Amino acid sequence: MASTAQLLDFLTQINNEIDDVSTQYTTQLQAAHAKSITNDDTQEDMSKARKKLAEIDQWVAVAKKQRLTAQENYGRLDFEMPIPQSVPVQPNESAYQGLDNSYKIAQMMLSQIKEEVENYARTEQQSGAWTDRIMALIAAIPAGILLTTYAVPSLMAFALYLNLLVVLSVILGQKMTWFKRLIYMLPFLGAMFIFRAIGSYFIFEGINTTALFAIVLFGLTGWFLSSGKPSFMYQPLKAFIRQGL
Amino acid sequence: MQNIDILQSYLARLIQAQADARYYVEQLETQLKTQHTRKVESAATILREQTEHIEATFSAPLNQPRQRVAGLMSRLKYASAPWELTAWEGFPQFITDDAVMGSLRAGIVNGVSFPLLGVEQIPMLLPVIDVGHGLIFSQKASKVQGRALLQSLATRAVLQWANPQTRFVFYDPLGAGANFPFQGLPESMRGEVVLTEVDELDASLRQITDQIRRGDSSQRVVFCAVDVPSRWSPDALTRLSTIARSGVTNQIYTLLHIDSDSDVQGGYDFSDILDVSSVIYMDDMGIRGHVLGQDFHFTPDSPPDNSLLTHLIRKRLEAR
Repeated sequence: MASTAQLLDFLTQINNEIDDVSTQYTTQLQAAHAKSITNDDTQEDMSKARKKLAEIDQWVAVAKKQRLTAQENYGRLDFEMPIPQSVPVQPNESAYQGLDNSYKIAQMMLSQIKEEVENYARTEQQSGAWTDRIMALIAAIPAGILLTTYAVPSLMAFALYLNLLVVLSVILGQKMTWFKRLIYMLPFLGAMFIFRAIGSYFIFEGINTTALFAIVLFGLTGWFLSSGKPSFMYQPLKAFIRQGL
Repeated sequence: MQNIDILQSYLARLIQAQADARYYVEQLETQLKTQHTRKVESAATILREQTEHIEATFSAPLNQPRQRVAGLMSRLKYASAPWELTAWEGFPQFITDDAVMGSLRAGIVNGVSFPLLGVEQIPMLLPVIDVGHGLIFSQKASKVQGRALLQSLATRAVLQWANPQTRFVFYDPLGAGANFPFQGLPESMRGEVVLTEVDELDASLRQITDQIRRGDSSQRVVFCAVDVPSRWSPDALTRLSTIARSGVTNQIYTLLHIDSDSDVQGGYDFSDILDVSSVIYMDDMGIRGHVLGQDFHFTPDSPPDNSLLTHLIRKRLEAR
């Protein structure tokens, strides 16, 4: 015979009997599962490695820009981009070590490139530019003599001559081919003759206003060009000349 | 060497360093993936071994009690089976010698389960044979549910005890027999018809009380009545008291559905039979059972559908 009460008593008793055992069983199983969970800690290492590679990529981009600038300054366009070997020349024992070494080498090379470019620029400013300018000055003397004797022997002529010297010194002071220098000089020479014509037409008694105007204008232009400042004037002009040629 | 050549050599070394770095990053990625795969495989192996060890350790302490429970549930089988065809597959061949017989399922006890033991539902069992009677008190709207539960209990009684040594008596004064659709039983077991008249009831109860008077327990009698005390004579109520007091010892049992809204003639209060019965109350306070001094809230069964009932009775008689 069975009643609900008897059934409940029986089930409760059995349930109590195995409750502790079941708890232990579940706890041990959960502990085993918890132990078996393996975190993917390789992600952190990979992330670090990719970060280093990304830095190297940036450095190469910077170095390529530096190279372009240097090529322009030297006027040599015959260099080709180096092609690397696909497998390292000196293999390392571990990928970690290899990456680390490559990182250090890349860092060092970028530093060397920057230093080299800076050295070049400094040398150009200090010596190369001035020697070229002196050469330009000497080259401009015959033209000055020609102008002062052939054109109006006046204050305006003197001003034009002065300006020509400045412009020539700037243009000739740039590191470029002689053909380019000649091309650069043409607009200045043209402008100079136009001003000379205007000046000879508007000559007031005692004061040559056009000459004064020309002195100021060309003086400022020359100064700006030779000094490279302000950049908002110098850089567009430089770009314009480059594009034009 | 001119400056530009030096510059070019630095750039070449830088670009080579970049290519080397790419190569090493690829190498590193492959190495780390391999390492991680090995680590995961190793962890899986350890887990499998540990799980096997833990399961081996806990197998006996966990399974033996569960087997005892499974054994009991197996013995209960049809006594606790719900009215679903799948639960009755194989009936009645699986009624073994140690099967729990004599208890009737009334429904499912509310809110009790033992997931640890794989027992989701506890059947509400009314012990009848050698213990007592089954009464259902219902009122108002719950009367329909009460009649349905009585029919379900009567069906279970028929399926358990239908044999030549058992006689069923059904009294359905208002439903004209519709509450006891057991035409599939032989007349020797269920009587010629379902009783519907007072004098038929009186005569039948007289036979039963005569059996008690003779002390004859050779034939088990199961008396089922619905809508008690509608159309019950004072004499029938008096005989009911006799059956309540002495019926169980003479293998006479009653399953009654009592309409609590009906006036009982002569102030009959069922107190005689209440003491020796499992009682189910269906009223505004819900459905609850009082069995062997304990109370349970439960969800009552409804009777099986006709096709299942016919099928099960046929199977029961075939196996007899």
